[in-house]
Amino acid sequence: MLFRQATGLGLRVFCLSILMIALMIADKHYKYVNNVREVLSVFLIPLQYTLNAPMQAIDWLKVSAATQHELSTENVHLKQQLLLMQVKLQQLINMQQENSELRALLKSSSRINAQFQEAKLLAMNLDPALAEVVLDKGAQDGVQPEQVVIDAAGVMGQIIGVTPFTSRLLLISDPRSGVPVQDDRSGLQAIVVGAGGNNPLSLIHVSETADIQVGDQLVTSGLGARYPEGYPVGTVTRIFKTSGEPFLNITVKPSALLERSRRVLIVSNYLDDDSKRMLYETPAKVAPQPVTISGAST
Amino acid sequence: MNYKLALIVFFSFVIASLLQFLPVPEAFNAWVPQWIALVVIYWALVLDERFNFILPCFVGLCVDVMNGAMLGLHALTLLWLSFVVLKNARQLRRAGRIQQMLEIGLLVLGYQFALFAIQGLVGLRLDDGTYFFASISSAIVWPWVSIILDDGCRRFVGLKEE
Repeated sequence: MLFRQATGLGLRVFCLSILMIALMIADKHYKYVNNVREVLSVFLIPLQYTLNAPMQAIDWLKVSAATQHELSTENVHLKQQLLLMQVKLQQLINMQQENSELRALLKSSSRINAQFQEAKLLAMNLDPALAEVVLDKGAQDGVQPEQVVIDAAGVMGQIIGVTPFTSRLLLISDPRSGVPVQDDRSGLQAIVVGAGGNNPLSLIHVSETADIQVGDQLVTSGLGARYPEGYPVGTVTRIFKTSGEPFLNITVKPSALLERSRRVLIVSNYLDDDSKRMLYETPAKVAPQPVTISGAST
Repeated sequence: MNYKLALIVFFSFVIASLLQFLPVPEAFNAWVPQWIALVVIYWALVLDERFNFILPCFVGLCVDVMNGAMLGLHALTLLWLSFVVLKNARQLRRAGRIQQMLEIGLLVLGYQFALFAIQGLVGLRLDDGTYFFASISSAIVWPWVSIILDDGCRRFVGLKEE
């Protein structure tokens, strides 16, 4: 009798195991499994917000327990910063004007001003093997997959999943993430990939003869049309060569505070209609345009 | 009685997942016990023949969605964990407190190794040894988990134990 029960047990576990393995394989290869994920994650939203509650309480305590003196000094400090930023902004507006005129001369598409949406990270202790975080803005707030997220210092990653009230952000330190970048100093283009956990990022497929130095700033190149152009990604911290390998090993320290930023910005709508058409339509559909070489020489 | 039992199983998992995903300082991250695995072990031990394998699968799927892991990863490992527990339920129940803690620690270690191996197979590996600290802390908190859940069972369900 005991034996019979035991075989039943094994059979059930075997069948369910096969089912789960099939699910894992399907998840890796087919997109429609994401629907299952989204349905389940709607039920988990209360849990995510409950987890965030202690952090919110701590934030609230910080504000309410601050003395007036602290608040007034902070206020003075912020006002100084605001003034500085406004002065810088005046210069920037001027430069932007100049830049768009130059771009018009070069007949390249103008960059449209990106729109930003503020979001907060929901505090959660997730699997350290996967560099993902959850944001408190979702489809209800107009967040879409593939949008890029930045913080005050640089690029953080891209949105990979959206539920009505939350969204999931894949950080650039995840092994599945790749960011097309260019060297600010030499214009060299390459791709930054993550290594998981707290490991530094790496710049891949850079040949030995490439012009790259330790300390170089890497910014997004805008290639691939996923990440908008010109945002800092990281700085080169170490370059070394392994004999027998065709490419250099380059480690990159991310500019964004991947582990610490709690307030982030979701970038939306950074491509204008012209560039979208150029990127997403097949070349055959784009009307042939007369090529002018004179524009480039001016 | 049956719906009461379902309710306490549900809430035990809600609390376990709150504890599991509660943000902690970076240094303690590796030491967070596997609360969800411990609760699965507990219910496998207590429910025994009434234990349904759909439970670890469903809980595991929820953990996968929370974590953003491959769908089915935690479901599969929790399923195997509960199977091993059910197979050895008699010995586990009879063991003394220290003996039981050691065995639970080993079970959690096996569970984590399965997770690690599957993630390694698909190329998401994590090469620091701290990944296995959690089995030690899980063994340490096991007596409290079982005492608290025993108490809850006795009070709300009147479940009889051996």
